[in-house]
Amino acid sequence: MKDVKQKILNYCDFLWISQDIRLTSTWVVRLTYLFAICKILLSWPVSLNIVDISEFSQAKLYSFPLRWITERIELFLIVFIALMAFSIYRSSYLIKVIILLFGILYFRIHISIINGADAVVLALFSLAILLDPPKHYKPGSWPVFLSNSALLLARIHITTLYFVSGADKLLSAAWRSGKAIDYLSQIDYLFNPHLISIYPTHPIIHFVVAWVVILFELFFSWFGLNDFENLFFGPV
Amino acid sequence: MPDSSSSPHLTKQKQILSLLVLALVVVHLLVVLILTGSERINKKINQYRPAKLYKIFAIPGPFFSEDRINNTVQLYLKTKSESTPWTDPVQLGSDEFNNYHSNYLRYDQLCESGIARFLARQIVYDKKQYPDSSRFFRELNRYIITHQLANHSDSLQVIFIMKKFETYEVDTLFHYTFQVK
Repeated sequence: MKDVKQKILNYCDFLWISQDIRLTSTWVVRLTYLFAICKILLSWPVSLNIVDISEFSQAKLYSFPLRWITERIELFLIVFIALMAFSIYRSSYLIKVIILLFGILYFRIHISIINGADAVVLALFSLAILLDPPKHYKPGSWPVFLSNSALLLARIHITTLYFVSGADKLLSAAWRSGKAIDYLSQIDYLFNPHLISIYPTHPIIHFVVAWVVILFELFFSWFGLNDFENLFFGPV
Repeated sequence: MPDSSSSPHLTKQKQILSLLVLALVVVHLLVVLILTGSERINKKINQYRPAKLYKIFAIPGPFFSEDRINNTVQLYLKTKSESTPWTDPVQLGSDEFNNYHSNYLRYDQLCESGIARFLARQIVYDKKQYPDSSRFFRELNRYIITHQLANHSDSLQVIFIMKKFETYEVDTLFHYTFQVK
């Protein structure tokens, strides 16, 4: 019991004083923005199509900014990319807050093509505000505490994502028996067409592939939670 | 993990704040466990908007769940003009999906293939409205007319199909035939 209490107190100390993970938080922010920039650039043509077909009248809270943006979608995307590019170069709390607001609007406009990865990026946009403080602060200061706490939450977020997926599959009879892979291989908009010709359709293969997926997802999350110290407070 | 004796002592206030962050993490992990284990609670939570938003952004997933794989909505399109009979049904989005797999830099094609499927799912699961008065149906209509329709076509047939792999059931949910305005 005493050990547990001491460990918790160590974690508390670590959230305030650790400077080791500053580099990690800087790269989490940079890679998140870089990923978002690439995604926006690659889906640029479809962004222009979406504004032609979408109606935003039902979104009362967002209706004004959304209508304004959809009429100037190219300008919106250029400014969004420029803000993220600037944040990769130099950290600023204000700009990161604006990026989060732009991210929410982008998410709302592109709701028909949004996937799980985009939801993760938006969650990281919000944590990025606290991550990677603009200046070098002393251990024990608020920015260091907030940055370390945000990095802890970011890592928990990624870990639970795998856990939720792995556990859901483990609880599913179709996944446990491998039938889910059989179903997936028959959905022509989910299964890679190049794989269809070479993928051996056999129940044993389905079973093995399904269990590789389940075990990978569970192992990733188990590692994240069990090896807590190294994953969350380990060296960069 | 550093030795606690090597770190400066925190004030009571700072210690409480860090304990709050750790408590937040523990509560979040408990919510994740409960939502993963109970489908009933999961469904109930979707009725409340703040809880639903928390679920979408804080606990994304599960991905490729059994229900999502087993019940797939597919959308087929047939067209006709004055001089030609009805074409064979074409699955909306399949060309774009194949284009993406021929050139992985064309990510826009993968997104494009998802639009029709998203709208079809919304129309099928949006039980509160009749499809033809639904916002998503109007959006689908615009999507087909602006992006999918060959210029010479003057009539459309949109067919919504539900495929259930578990029971090998293929059911035409509904289909609409209308003239292009």
